[in-house]
Amino acid sequence: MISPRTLRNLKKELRSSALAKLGIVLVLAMILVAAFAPFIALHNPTNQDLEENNLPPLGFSRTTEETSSEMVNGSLEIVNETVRINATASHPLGTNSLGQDVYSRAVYGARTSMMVGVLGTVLAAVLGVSVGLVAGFYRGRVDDALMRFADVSLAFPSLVLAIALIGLWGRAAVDVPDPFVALGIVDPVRAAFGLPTGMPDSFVLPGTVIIVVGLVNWVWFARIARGEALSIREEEYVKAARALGASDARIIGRHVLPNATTPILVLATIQVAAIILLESSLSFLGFSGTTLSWGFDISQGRGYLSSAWWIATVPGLAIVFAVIGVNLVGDWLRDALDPGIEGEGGV
Amino acid sequence: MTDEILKVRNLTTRFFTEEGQVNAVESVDFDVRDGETFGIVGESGSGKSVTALSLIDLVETPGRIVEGEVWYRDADLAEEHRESHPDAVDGDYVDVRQLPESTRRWLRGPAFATIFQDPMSSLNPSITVGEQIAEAVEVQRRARANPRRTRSRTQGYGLGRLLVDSVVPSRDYVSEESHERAVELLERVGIPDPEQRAEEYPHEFSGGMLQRAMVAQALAGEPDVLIADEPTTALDVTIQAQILNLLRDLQEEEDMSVVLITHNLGVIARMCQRVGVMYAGEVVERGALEDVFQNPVHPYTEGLLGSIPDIEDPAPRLSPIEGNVPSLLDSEMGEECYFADRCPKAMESCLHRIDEHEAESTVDDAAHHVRCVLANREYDESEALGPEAKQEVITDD
Amino acid sequence: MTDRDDDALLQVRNLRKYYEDGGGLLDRFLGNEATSVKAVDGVSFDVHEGETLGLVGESGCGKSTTGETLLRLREATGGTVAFDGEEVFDLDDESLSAFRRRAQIVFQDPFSSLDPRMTVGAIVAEGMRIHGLPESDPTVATDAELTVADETDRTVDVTVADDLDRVVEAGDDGVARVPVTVQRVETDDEDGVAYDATVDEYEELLGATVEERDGELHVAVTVTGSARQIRNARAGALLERVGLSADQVDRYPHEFSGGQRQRVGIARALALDPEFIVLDEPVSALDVSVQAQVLNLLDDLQDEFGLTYLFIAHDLSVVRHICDRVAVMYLGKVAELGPTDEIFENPDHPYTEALLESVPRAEVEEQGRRVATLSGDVPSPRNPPSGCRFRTRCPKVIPPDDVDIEQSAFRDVMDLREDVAAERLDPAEIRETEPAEYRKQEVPGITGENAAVVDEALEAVADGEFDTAAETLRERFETVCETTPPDDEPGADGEVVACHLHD
Repeated sequence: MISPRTLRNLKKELRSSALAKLGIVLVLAMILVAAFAPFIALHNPTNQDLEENNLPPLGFSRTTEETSSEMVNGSLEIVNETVRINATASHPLGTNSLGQDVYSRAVYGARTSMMVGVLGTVLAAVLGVSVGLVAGFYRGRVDDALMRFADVSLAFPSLVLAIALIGLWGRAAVDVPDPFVALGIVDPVRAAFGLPTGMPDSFVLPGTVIIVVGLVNWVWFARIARGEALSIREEEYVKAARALGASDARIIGRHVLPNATTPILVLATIQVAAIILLESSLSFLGFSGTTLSWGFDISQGRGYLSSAWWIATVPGLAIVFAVIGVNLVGDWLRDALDPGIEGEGGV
Repeated sequence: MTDEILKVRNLTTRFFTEEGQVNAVESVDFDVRDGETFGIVGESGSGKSVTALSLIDLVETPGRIVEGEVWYRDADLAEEHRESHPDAVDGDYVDVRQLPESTRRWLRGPAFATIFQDPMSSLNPSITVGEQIAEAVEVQRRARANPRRTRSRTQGYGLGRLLVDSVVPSRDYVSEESHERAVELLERVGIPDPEQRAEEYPHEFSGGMLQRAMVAQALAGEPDVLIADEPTTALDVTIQAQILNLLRDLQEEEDMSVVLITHNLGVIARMCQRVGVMYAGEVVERGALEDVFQNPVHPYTEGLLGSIPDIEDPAPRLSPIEGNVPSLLDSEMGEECYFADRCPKAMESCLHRIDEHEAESTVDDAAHHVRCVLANREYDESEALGPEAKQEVITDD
Repeated sequence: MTDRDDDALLQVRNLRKYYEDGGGLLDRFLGNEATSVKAVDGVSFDVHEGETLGLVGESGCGKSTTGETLLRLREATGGTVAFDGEEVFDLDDESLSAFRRRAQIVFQDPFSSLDPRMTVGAIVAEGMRIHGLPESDPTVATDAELTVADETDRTVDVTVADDLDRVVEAGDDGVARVPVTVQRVETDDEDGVAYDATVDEYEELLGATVEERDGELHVAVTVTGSARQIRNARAGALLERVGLSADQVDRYPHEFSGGQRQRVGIARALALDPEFIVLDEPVSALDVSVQAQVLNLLDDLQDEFGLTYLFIAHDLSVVRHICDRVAVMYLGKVAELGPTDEIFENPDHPYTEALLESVPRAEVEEQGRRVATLSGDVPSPRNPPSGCRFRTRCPKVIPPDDVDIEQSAFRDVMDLREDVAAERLDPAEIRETEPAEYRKQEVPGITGENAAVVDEALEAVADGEFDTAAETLRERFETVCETTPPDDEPGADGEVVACHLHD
């Protein structure tokens, strides 16, 4: 399905666009961070250490008021001291109010975002493209019915849907064992580098959230797929397939879908970004199945914005970079693949 | 003694694309005389359309005219530029290519006008036909009215004018006279009910009507040379006949020259007194219609004439030209004659560059030029390139 | 009265295809009437086995729609199509599938008729995939051409698999044969001797084994290639047959030129081994020199495979070259149908005449030729003219018997009647010019009673009363061409001249 000419266009666009390169770097970084989280994180992100809570990141320090009482000359005196709290090397980006390492949480948070982003997009794509292709190919009443259904779906706020589904199914959180930990290679590698061991042996796949984002976003795919199906069905090669005796299913699967991949692919990358944001909002509002999520951390850090700003800012920045990266990759794909003019230019 | 209105010498246009340099038009020479129709015939990839665009300077990046002169006869213009651009003036002729860009732009209208193949895409679908023609008339009128012929930017419909119009809409750019003239032109080209039709939009016109409207627009500047690039290819044959009749009549009445570009040899035969045959960017044969059709020298011309079915005398089998049109990529074009790999009469001497030779002409006052060694020698079978040699020609980079 | 011509492979009767417009909910709500575009409005013709029937006309005449509708690629609105005796529109799914194998189509646009995402080999093989081809034909016997090497001093018995004909085409005698060679080879075994059988054709798809039993050699030839491999091999062979090279099977359409792509389209149509092919403007998009190559190819293929063609085109020179009989279409109906030479040398229908007249000939004499052109444009297929559809432009439109008028003048009168009906005249202009003067301008060449009637009508127009004017003119000048549609059913000889001049 990816023709050599397409590959050439992709490479050409990549060479000429600095932004595309940046996008690829950011996305690759996110993928690698998510994949190798157990190796890259400094601490187990769920380890709490109340002694070391709210530590600032390196290069910053925090002042706090400490009140203590002292006996001075027989009377109780209350002394207010401003204490300076410094960063420590073992928590380079600081800790949150539970003493959990902000950096490590951001690293593991990438997993959540990536998984929900990718799986949610895949779900939305499969649903949306199926509906869209059928609607566009058959037109008429089928098209009307499906598209009205899509419109209704679009009008439905994601939050309400999330609440409803979580109410119905619970968080449907699946504990997926961490392959690296299961293989037992994490601890030795970490020990070799002098890093604390004991990383989480599983991570949470928030099932309901994935379904929610899939159900919310399928309409975009349906629209695009429908548009493509509408135009492709008029192509002569579709007529030719029909003349050969091909069934509708064959035509849709063998002729319409492969020729519709380009805009769907571009949409998919953009959707990943949107879904990462959506997941962040949902977990910010507490509707995620997992607490190891950027959105969740932001919600935790909301109350400390003036004092321990890093708790919310670090995951916030992570979201920003992830979304920018994915969007840039989407732009790259779109610019490279579109216009995909296959015809000859006359001289 | 017929005089030439246009003399094209050594016109060479190249496209500098990502895949490499494309030699679209290569050393093209031809003349267009007063009041005649000169035909350029070729198949796709021959360079005929790019030649048309090059004449009126509409070649855009990555294309560029790299060489050549386009001599246009205009005594006044020659006089004006004799001192400032001595190389660009030769008697009454001015080399348009060497003039400043604003002057060249100014020439579009009074000197050159064009009509293209698809009238539907040449007209703005959201403006009435009459309005568009009137605009063309207005632009020409203003250009002429300017006594010093400064050919400044402002004689056109520029950004400034656009802003003024949006702020002060009452001052119409296009005057009443121009509107009237537009209706006159519509009538001139045979559109019935011109006042009514002027108020209509392009999509309300049929293909033939639209092409007539395009001709009307082209006539707005009273051009000396009308360049028609495949004007009837998209039209039905009965409509084509109407349009060709129209062009014929107009040509006679306005004493206009026409450069008619097409792949249809029948249209060429109907309309042209002289014709040039293009292949792979070169004019391989040119001369009077009689010479080219009845005594073709270049094997491509022969092959072309032999491969078209004759409506009056059907042959049991056609004689096509074997092979495919060559690539115009510079890297893939060799030193040999570009037709050698398909030529049934290719000889040893065809492996080197071939200049234009003068061949026999049966028509007085018309030269017959051929870019082929057969112009002044007979075909010698003993020198023929065998199929292996031809194969080498094809695969040799 | 049409005779059912029994050796006609294809019989089309009264085929109609209308496109409805404006029938949706919103239109009904707004009170918009549904108008239909009558693309094909009652077309009848036969196609005989082995012939090439041409279908010509200008844009909008319905020729392409006819071709697609008779293959049931579009739903017909009415009429019947019989292919080899079977009613195509009544076929159930299974029979339709069988029909598709027998009747194929080649499209006009080589650039859009090939799926850009499929290799050329896959495109050609797709039909075979859909129909489970190649399949073995039980009526075809299989055999081997055995060559036994001299030193083989054994009797050899050969059995060939029944499905050999999936790979090897049956010869004229109905037998699929493959050459097999048996020879003795030296081995290192204790026996020192072994026998080897090789297949000499289609080696990648067939295999031969040899077994020694009771002093005899038993050779078995079987099909070892998978269905997919067989299809690919067949696709490669088809590409070769149409002038391309078999090793191009893995290339994509965009790597080929227009002419080459069209050849791929032809190979695709041939893959199912059809009897009948609709060629929908197969060379219109090609360069002249390539056109000739493809036309020659189509000619050769027709001879080799015994094909029947329906050749749809607008280029009359091409049609003259390749077709045995020609049907000329105008605005959804057949205007004339007959043998090619007849039609081109002695056209009967005025439209055919006009069409032939308009074609520019590629010869020097063309310069001086004065071409009489048709006035006006083709009418809209939404609202075709009553009676004979060509009457709005026909230079030979028939005046009523009791009216004495010159032909060209009558044409002018009819044009005037059209303008009146469409209310295209300006009453003010007529008032200014005076009806009589106006009449002399627009309709010169009429006198007496004729002139008087026209003046009367023009006076009505000057008063803005178009209906009265139309009626006045109609009373005097009503022609059979507007009241009665001409007969366009094929006669006993299969010919049609849909014109009242030939009643």
